[in-house]
Amino acid sequence: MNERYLKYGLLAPALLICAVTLFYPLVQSMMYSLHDWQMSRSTVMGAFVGVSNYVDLVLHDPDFMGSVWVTLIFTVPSVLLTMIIGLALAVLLAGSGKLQVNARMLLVIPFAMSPALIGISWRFMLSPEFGIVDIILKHLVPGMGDTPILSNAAWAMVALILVDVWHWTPYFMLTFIGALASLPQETLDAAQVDGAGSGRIFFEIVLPQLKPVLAIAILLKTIFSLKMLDQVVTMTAGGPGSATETLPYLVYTTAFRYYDIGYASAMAWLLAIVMIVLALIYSRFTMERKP
Amino acid sequence: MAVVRLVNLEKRWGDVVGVANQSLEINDGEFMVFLGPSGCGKTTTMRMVAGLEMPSAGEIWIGDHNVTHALPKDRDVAMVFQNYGLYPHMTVRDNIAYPLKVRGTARAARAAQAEEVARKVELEQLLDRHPRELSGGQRQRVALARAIVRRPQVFLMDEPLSNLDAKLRSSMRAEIWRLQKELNVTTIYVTHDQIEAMTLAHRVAVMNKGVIQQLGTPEEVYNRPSNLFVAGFMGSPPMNLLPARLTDSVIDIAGKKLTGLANGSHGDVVVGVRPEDVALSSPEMGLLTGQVYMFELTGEAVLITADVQGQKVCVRCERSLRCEIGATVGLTFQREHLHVFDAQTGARLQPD
Amino acid sequence: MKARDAKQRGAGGALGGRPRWQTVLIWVVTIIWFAPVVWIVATAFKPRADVFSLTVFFKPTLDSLLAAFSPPYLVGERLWNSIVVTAGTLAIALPVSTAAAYAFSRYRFPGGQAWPLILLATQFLPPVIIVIPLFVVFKNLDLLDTRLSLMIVNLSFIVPYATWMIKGFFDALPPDMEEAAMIDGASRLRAIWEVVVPVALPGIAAAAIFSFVVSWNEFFFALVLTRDHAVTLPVALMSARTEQGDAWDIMASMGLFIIAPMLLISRFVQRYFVKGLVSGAVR
Repeated sequence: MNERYLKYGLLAPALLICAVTLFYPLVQSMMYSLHDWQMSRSTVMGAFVGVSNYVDLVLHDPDFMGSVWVTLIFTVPSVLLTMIIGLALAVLLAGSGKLQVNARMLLVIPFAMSPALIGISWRFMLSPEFGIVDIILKHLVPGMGDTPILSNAAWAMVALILVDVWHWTPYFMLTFIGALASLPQETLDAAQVDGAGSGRIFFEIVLPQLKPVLAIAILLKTIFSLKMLDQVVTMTAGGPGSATETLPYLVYTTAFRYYDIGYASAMAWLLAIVMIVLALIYSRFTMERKP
Repeated sequence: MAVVRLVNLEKRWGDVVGVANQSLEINDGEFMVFLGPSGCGKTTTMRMVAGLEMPSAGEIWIGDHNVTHALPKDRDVAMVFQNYGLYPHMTVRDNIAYPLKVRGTARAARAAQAEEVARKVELEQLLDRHPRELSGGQRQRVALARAIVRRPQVFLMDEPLSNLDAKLRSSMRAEIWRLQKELNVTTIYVTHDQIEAMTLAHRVAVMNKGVIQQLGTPEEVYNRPSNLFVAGFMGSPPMNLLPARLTDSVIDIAGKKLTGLANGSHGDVVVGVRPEDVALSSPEMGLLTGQVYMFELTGEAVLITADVQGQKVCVRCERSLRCEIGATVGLTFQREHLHVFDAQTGARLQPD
Repeated sequence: MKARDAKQRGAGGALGGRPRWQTVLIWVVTIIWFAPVVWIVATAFKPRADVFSLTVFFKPTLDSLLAAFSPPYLVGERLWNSIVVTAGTLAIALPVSTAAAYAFSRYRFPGGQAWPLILLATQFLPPVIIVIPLFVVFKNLDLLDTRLSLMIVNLSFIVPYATWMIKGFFDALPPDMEEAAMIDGASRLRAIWEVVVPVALPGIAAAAIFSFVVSWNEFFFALVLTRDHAVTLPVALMSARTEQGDAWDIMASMGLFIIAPMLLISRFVQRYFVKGLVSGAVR
């Protein structure tokens, strides 16, 4: 009898916190999305409008579709680059030598930095006239004046992607290093004796065995890329224009600049549904691999 | 088909010596077994021959080529690993054919050769399976097939049978022996199991702590062990070793003085005699006497251990023999079955 | 031969010592990757004039740092807010998560297998979705711009993940320990506190470091929910963007405070923070 109380008693505080801070807001958010509510006009939720918010978003809102497009343009390259560079770094920095251990320790720091700080720092470094990047460019290519990076639509996106890759790659590098270490050494020895060179061994023996880990990594990074927000706020503010206006950012401005709560909530739920689907795929993957 | 030569080969990690200045020549087509306990250097030596470890000093020659610093892929050796080292993501056929693929053989030719070799090890039915679907014995045969398919100059085998159960081990042993005889490839085989060494080897190199203790045929190593280590390592149950003193051709052992068994004077020695070379007799007739301490039935024999002045002596007897625990018995043996070793150095003294 | 040797050689199969070009590459990559961090930290100490030039050697000065402490930047206050919010979050999250993790690990609940994944899945939700209702609630409760609101919101994503992390550690500990203690006469609660928790400390430490890093760096919720009083360091960065142009030197100073804890515990960050996340991805 006592055990029963303890069992639920231990769980209760956490459950309470999650209920208040997660479940309740999720439910409320769904409610808002089904109503029309302009917070600038009234402090009380407006009329029930059913799914018309959702319909408007998908069918009638060019800003929304534009933002979806921007999010995709950001997500795909950031995931691909993170995986490729992460693998390369893993192969390079695997090992217990002092050099590699210290290198890994340094590389982890960008990952531990606040994304907001990263956004602002790179905004500084990329600014024309003052930024170090600009200064380096001026030295390398004489005659190149103050180069606008963040005020150029294409380059701003490139910068956003590269900064995100800079931030996340160390984390995946460590994941891959762990996976590499769990490969049976005998298989690699056998390949050497069979006559394969390093390149062949990597592409024909190592990589195929990393497929499950890679799949999960791609899934995770996609989810993280989709919900990326801090850097957009501090580095580009969605600009120039709406060139880097990702979905989370659009939700943010819709809710807290235009105070269109209902509409913003619907938008957030559309994004969340995509991510929940991805999360389900992730869980299916990891469940399968459990013994 | 080649002669393998190790010249002053050494492997050190800082202060730790893995292999200490070994020189050895393995003849063309010979089945050489490196035998010894874990850590004796046998695997390290073989890995240096494979090119998976670099020697700290010395040279390795395969045929006419000095391969000391060559990469494994340039040495034309094939290796069978203890845990098989198969490629988990490839089918059996692709596993076997991989060495050919790496060397640029065309796909059709690869498949044909893989099938031919698979037939040799009785794997034709399993060519499309993946390693995880196979049993231990089957995986081992895939590893063998992959080693054979290339017709290399040297076979290297790293304790290939140690992960198999006992019954499978003996049948695989026979298969390996048969294959090596048929293909006549110079083979280096590493094991800690002296039965494998005895049954498979043309010659055995018994190793301990990085040093070859004795190099010889199985009979030589078994019947004339060159030191205490080899004497104690070969044979199951192991040789009985008893401390004694040799003075004026008289062996002073376990409270008895025995004549006519050895010559000369040497001081403190260790006398060895194998359990199968000792016979039980009545206490009056025995060279030594003791009390029965225990007996073990092994099926084909009975091992009776007698307590002789505090020393335990094991005697292998005919399987229907029974004794009472504590009964006094006599032990007899013959001069030609006695081995005498120096008590300090362990080196063999007699018979010369 | 274990795969640990692969670590020594690099999984590409390089033999013996590392080839020279690989060593060079490691240096180059590390320097390039880490240089921006160095630049930011250095900028905080640069005299105003040097901030906008490529000078690598400069006379370090504390001017920017000191300026940051005065209005309108008030880094001192913002720093204090960050400390209070993070400390409060940790103080609540760790005990709560540890308790829940123990419950999940040792007991069966309806929906058993699903729970660990549900916990993990909370990390996949976009923060934008819960910030809107929370904003409304806090507004109505007059809790906007308070440190308490930030703590509550931090808990929303820290508690599930910390629970999941610590549960993993408890799962690896056999129940024998607390059962032995209970047979010896301790109540289960006592057994947990005196026997299990000490052994699970590495796991709890990992969760603590993760919670610390995430809470300290948290930006978005603070941005939405605070204005003046409860502004934390990451949000304070935005305040350096004035009409006169961006005060980069002030920003660098603030950045220094944000990044300082990470640099101090960098060795532990690698071991625990990333390990906690890595084991999640690979498991």
